Amino acid sequence: MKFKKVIINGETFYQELPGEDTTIIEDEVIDPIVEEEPEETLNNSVNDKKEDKEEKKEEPKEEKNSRIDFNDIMGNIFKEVKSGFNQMGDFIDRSFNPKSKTSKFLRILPFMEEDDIHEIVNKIFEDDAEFKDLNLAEIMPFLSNEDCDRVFMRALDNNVSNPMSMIHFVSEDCLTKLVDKYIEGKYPKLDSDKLYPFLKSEDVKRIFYYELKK
Amino acid sequence: MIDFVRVGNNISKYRKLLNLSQDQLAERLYVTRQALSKWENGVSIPSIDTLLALSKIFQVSFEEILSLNESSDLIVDESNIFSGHERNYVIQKIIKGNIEIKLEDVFYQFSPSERLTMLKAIKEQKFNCNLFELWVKLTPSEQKFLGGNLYEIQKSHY
Repeated sequence: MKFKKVIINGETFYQELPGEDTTIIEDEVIDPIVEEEPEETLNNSVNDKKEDKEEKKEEPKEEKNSRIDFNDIMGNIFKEVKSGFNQMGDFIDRSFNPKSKTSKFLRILPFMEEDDIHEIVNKIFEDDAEFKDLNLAEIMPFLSNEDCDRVFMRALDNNVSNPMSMIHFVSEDCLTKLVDKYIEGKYPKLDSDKLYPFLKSEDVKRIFYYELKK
Repeated sequence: MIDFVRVGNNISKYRKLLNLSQDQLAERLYVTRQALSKWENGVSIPSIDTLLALSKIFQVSFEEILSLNESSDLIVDESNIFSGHERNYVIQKIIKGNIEIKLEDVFYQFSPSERLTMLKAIKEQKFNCNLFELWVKLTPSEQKFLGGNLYEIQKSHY
């Protein structure tokens, strides 16, 4: 039998692999692992086998190479999964964690003066590190019309913070100017399909006629 | 702003006039029947290219499908003001005064973020309502958002 050493959340387990010789593979840290088997299966695996270096040396080269290739591939896959879960965790933390920066701001924003909120928007524009992780779309209801337009256009220019999520708060005048610039070719990557539902009738017609000409 | 539900009703109407099933129309547009169903139910709206294709199939202009030239005034059922229309569309129409309602009577139908949108419009004096009656229906943070002191707000508004 062959075993693969697996580390999950800091705990070490040995997972059985099909094979003839009893071997423990060292330095196979895959952390964390998304395993289909229940934890009990892993816990029941033999985890107190002694390391057998002689048997490891005796393995035919072909088997050893294929084992390494398989482990490399699995290692890469697990890294990608881990990265994905970390990104999901960050998103959930930002959105639902009562201790996240955005949540804290949302609780105090109703009690802040307009001038103070305007000051925060200015700091965001100055790329203040303190407000780097703030979800701009969620604070839009508390901003003045001018600040909403500024924040939206900045998000659009810098291609950050998903500008279309803020579009409900943007003034019609700002959207009209955006359509002007789009027709001039300034925002070639702008998704007009997501924009047009929020435009007034005249701007919808302009966008459609522009797309027809294209 | 486009009323998704109205657009969906138009698509459904024109499709039935041509005696086409959802499957048949979806096939002509190279989309799934589920996508077409979402449009007809007002859940989503077709892309610009698809709308132009629809106008060719239906032999009507895209303005007619999108109801761009229709009156912007709406009549809503006060017991469910969002029924039959897309929510953001209704809110924008209320703020612009295209819908006659007593906000204090229907305020409970708004989601928390929609309530803030309406209160912001009141604060910016884009929309008027009976503040005395509305005030008692606001949460403390919403009252603070409006300015904290009802009498001071009334003074500044009138």
